[in-house]
Amino acid sequence: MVTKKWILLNNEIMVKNDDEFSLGKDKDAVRSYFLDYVNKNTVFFYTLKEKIDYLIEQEYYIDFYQWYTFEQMQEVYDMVYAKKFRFQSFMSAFKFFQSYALRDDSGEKFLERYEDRVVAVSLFLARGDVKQAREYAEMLINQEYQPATPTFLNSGKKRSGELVSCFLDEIGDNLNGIGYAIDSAMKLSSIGGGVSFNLSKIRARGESIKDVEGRAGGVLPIMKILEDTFSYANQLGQRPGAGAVYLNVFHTDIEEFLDCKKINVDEKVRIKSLSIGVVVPDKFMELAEKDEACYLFHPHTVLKQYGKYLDEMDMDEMYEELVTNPAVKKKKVNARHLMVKIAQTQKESGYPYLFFKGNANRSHALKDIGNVKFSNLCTEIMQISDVSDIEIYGTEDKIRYGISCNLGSLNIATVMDNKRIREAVKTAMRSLTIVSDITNIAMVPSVQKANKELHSVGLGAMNLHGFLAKNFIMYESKEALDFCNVFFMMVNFYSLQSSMEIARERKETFVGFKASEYANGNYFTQYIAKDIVPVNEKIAALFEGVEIPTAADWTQLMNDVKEHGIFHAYRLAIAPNQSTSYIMNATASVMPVVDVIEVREYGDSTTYYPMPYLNNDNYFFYKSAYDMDQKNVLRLISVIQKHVDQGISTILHTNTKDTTRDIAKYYIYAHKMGLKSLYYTRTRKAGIDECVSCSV
Amino acid sequence: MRADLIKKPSQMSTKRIIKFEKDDCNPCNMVSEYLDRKGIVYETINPFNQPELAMQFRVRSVPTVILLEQEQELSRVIGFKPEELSALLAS
Repeated sequence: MVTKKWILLNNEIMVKNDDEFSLGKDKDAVRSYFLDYVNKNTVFFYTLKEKIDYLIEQEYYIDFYQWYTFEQMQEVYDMVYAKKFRFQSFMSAFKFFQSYALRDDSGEKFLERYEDRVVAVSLFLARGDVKQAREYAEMLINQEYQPATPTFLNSGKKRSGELVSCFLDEIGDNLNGIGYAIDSAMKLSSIGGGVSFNLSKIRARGESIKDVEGRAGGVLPIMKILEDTFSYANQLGQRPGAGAVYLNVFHTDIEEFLDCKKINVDEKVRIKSLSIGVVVPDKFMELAEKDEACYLFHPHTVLKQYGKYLDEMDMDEMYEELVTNPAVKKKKVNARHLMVKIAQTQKESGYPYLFFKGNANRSHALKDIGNVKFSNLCTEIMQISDVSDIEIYGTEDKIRYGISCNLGSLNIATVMDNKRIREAVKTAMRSLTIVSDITNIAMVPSVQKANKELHSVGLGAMNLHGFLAKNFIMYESKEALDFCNVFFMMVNFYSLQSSMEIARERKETFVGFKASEYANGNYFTQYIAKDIVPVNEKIAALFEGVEIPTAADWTQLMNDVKEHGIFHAYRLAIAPNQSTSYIMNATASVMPVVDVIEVREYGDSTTYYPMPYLNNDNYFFYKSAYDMDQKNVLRLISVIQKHVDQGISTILHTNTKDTTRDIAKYYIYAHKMGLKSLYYTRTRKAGIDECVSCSV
Repeated sequence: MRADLIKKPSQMSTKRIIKFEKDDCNPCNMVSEYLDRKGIVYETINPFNQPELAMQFRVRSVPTVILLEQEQELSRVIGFKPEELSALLAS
């Protein structure tokens, strides 16, 4: 086995001199990776013109000449190359060349460097506007913003997939509705989409079909079909499809829904690759807290009695009514036992996700238009949805809102360092808007309708822990809360201002704007009463030279929004990010890091990834998420959540010694603090060999 | 006897031992056991909770035991090394 030079150099990080890791070796590894591998395997062109023409003629790139002259393109390339971009760690470079750089058809030679990808994305999204292309390119090469993988990977390529990959839809409680869902799942999966479905309207196992009792199969058989559908439509075998299903906790199938993730369950009912999430209304949290009985309802009997789906009812209002109505079939369980069962399932499998319906809707800016009923594969998307009526051939379907979302993340550390929060947020919003404009998922009309009318995007953020550690601030500290409160208020302000400006330019708002909390001004209440400024001196210093929007600015914005409207029904959502954070040399999302130096196995080699900005002085500021009090993490997320209109992917990190009761306490705390969802629960296995910071 | 009584408090007031450690760290526990067995009084600090102190003392890993006299470092032992520890305690 020939071990590669760059891997050996990377591994030398772990050699300790004077009790210090040799972190500088990673830079040597990057250099070697370029000199000994990337450069040798990159197709060489004598001139830029030759390169661009080759890529277009060989059908790697779309014909950029339809929008730009060669000189215009050259201007953007020159600007980007002049920045002298360097990957900050071996892992960043490795991830980019392994997964994102364009290769020739043989797959052996690289046709792009990072700079080229940045320019291709920028030229593509700017659609012929050179000034705009330069703005995109500057933001991307500065690593201030990173589009989600499908956008970054596919933009500008002639033969490529879609730019968006996150879809959601309801499933109607009839064969046409179920058929539509399966059809959508297959089509969206084939174009690389992750799809989430709400199963809560499906009648429970044992309910009546055409008034014949005991015939319905419940949600599990549909989950089985969906799981097979996703694994069948797998993008030419390159990547398995991904799907999630949500079920309301008051649905009588909830227990078997949870059991499907248990390891020791019968293969016939086991669901392996499909993700699951539970829709949790406030009422359930209340019953669990009071340790009361909890009734689960047969949804079809509810629909027959009230003409309304169980899933669409306000359970605070309707719960007692449903309990006392003898025509509604129900099952009695103990709320706390059910919550512990959820925790137990999470301990075993990491699932289910939790979607706190009450919290998601209390601050919902479109509350008079509809409810948020469930979430997506990463629990950060929170938008209205409504089940479509799918009819037989010859009768027109009534298509309502599915959900389509396209995402991107700001890099907190670089936008703060460059003091370009406003510029980065606004440019990022423009680029997300273009992605929404040019996306047309005609094969699934409910998703198409949502994108066309609501223009939803999801701007998020990454590198929070990296930024804090770099500035010697602890993730769990009060200073961190102070920073997040100001930073995300600003992100909210500029994204809203940008949305208003786009609406003003285009003379178009999202459909339903007039009935929204933006139009009546309610949305602005928390901002116009008093200024949000850094309280802590250290945090104030970080914002020095940055203009922070005041209450007066917010009042002005409120008036502008009332006058011109806004273009996007939804703007912000904080995704978990995986690959993209490596490329950006950023800690993922707004979550704490898991290891100070991450160990990753690729094929036959082990590689080490020191956390961004790690040096021997700030080492202990990279406290592992597993060593943190999860309540401190949830508290920080709750501060960010106040400024984010959709959700935040929040992972709980627990240890084997944490009981299901401890986990249940986190649910209650998260719910109390106003979090809208919880993503995976990860459990660290006890072991001494994992201690990187220990000296033996 | 009398000399002992005088010596002890004066030693306490000028010299002290601090130990950087974290949970679930075996060598840390072994050092604690060693010090406890000898009846040594020491202060424990989790560097992940007080990273400023870890920075101040340039601590790079745990366990790190540091002997201080009037806040000046006299010596340190990194890891569980009984001979070095006994040398540190003798100084």
